[in-house]
Amino acid sequence: MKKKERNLFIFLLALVCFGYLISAFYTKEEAGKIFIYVSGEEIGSYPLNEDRNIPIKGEAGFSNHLVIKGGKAYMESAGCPDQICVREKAIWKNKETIVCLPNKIVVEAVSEEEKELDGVT
Amino acid sequence: MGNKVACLGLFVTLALIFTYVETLIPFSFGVPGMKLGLTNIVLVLLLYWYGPKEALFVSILRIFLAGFLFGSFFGILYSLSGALLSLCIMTGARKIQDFGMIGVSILGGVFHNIGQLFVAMIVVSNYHIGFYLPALLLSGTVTGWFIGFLARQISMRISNKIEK
Ligand SMILES: [Zn+2]
Repeated sequence: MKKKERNLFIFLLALVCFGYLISAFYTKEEAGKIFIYVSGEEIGSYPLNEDRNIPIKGEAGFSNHLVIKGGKAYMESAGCPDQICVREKAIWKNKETIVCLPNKIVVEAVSEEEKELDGVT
Repeated sequence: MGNKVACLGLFVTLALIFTYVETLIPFSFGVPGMKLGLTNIVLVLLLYWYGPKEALFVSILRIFLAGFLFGSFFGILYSLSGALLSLCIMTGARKIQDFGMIGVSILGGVFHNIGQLFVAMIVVSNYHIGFYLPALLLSGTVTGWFIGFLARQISMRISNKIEK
């Protein structure tokens, strides 16, 4: 690698570390609840302390299956072609998300504190 | 002239093969938009051997063909946004002094991911998915380095045999 390329590489890695620090700061609290959005519209919210199966009908027509188990939420199955949402890790901390882009679904975990702030505004 | 068109056709085919190979490698680690970016080998080489116009032509043709062959229409939108941003940045980066294929490819990989994430944020109307950015930056940097390294090795060996 040339010198400028090496500098770029190091700069980007530093940026990555900085990004992870920021996201660690935002996600440090445990989440109490998840919100489900389809195309940006909230279609439901569920507490993480009750086990549950939630079918979600997304924008593209096929359905995804979200499972809440042991305080964590994960996508158990999905009709999407890429299956990335199924491979995403289970969410249980503030602001963590599971996204199914083909079906325009976002599942977001939110902490108790965050919920109260939302309630005030 | 005829040879150049034939060559570009071959590059489209090669890019399509890479796209297909990539669908067989599970590289996403459960992060939307994360990919190996093998097709960028072809684009970096095209940029150096021919120019931005030819690279753009092959890139767009590749995306539409791959979209119809192995994907769905939605995939075309993400791929296009990533590919166009990445190609613009790589075209600019190529002109930087003391900057080789590796640097160009790293910037291409990083901006490909940024472009896709940006469109994804608009499509799902949720900016919190921006939390995927560090992971996407990391993968763009590392795969970009790897792809640039491969492209340079290939170029050193066969650059003189290419019909320009
Ligand atoms: Zn999915």
